[in-house]
Amino acid sequence: MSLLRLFNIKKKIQPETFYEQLAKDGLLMDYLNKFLADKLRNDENFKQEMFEVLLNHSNEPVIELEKYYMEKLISSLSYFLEYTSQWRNQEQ
Amino acid sequence: MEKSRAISPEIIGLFDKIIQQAEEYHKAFELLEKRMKEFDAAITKLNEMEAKITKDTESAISKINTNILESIILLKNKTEETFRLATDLGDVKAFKSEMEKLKDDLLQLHSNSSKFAEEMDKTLKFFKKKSELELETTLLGLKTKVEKEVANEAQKIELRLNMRLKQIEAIVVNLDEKLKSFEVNFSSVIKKLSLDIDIIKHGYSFNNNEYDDQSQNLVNQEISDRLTTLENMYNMLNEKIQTHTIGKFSPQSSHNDNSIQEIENKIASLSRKIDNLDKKLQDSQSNSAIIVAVLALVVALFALLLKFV
Repeated sequence: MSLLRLFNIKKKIQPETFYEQLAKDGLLMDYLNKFLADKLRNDENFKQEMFEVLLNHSNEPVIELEKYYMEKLISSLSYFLEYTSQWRNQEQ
Repeated sequence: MEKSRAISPEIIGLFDKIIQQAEEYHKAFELLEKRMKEFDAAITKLNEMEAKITKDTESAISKINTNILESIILLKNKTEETFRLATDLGDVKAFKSEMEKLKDDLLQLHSNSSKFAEEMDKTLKFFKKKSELELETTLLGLKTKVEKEVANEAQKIELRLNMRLKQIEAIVVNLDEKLKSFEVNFSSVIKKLSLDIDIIKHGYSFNNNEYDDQSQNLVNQEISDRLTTLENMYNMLNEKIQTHTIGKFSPQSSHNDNSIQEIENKIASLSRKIDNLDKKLQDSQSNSAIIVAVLALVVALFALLLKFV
């Protein structure tokens, strides 16, 4: 519990990054699409980091972020469906 | 946690709803896992039980098989015994029916026994009367037959005896006649011989007195011997005659006795004649040859008599 508080405190007290500033301003997604489109398409970690920055610091809804999380949800649900398909088929 | 403004609230609501459902799913899956574990445990337990049951079942099946085989063998034995008993039962039934028949026959016989006894009494009485009658008739018939046979036999014997007596009488008459002629001849011969003896006596009396005495003694002794033999023969003849008269004529009637007495009288007269001859012979005492001849004649007479008797 104390570690989580310390981690949150660390987050609060760390300096604001360039990407965070762009996210607050609502320009990060355009920036990424314009300058870092390939990296965003190919580097999954970078893509996840950027979407987390958007999720935490953007003041406006971002369609790409919603799409991204909806895709994640869809993949999780499809995994779930696939995971439970055997059971469902047995039940039927 | 502060809500993000980067995602529209509809989508956040959708995510919340999905999170809630995921939690429900999580709970359901936990329960499911728990149930699965329980099921697994139950399955392993059931498998163990199945194994145990199969083992028990196999042992039970083997036991049941052995029991079934034993039961089959026992059943076969019992079946054979049952068949044997069935055949015996058939025999017993046949014997029972036969016994019942015999029982019925016995009852029938028992019922008919009184009638049968009465009938038997009647038949026995009838048979007794009839047998007595038959016996009387047969006895009478036999009596008459025996009497007839006895009369016939008596007649035959009487006729035979009469014939014999007549033959003996004829023989005796012949012998008397022969004896008379012999006496006549013999007296003449004796006279001649006495004359000859006198002549011889006169011729030899002066020298041989002693020798004559001795020869006379010898002759007398010889004559006495001959006489004793003659007496013996005579006695034997008498005995034979007596035995013949006892054997043949004892069971005869008085007529036969008379005939025997006659024969005896004749024999007595013959013996008397023989005695006379002996006396005469004793008187003569001289010629032994003549005496021997006389004696031979007498013996021949006796032999003839014996032949006819």
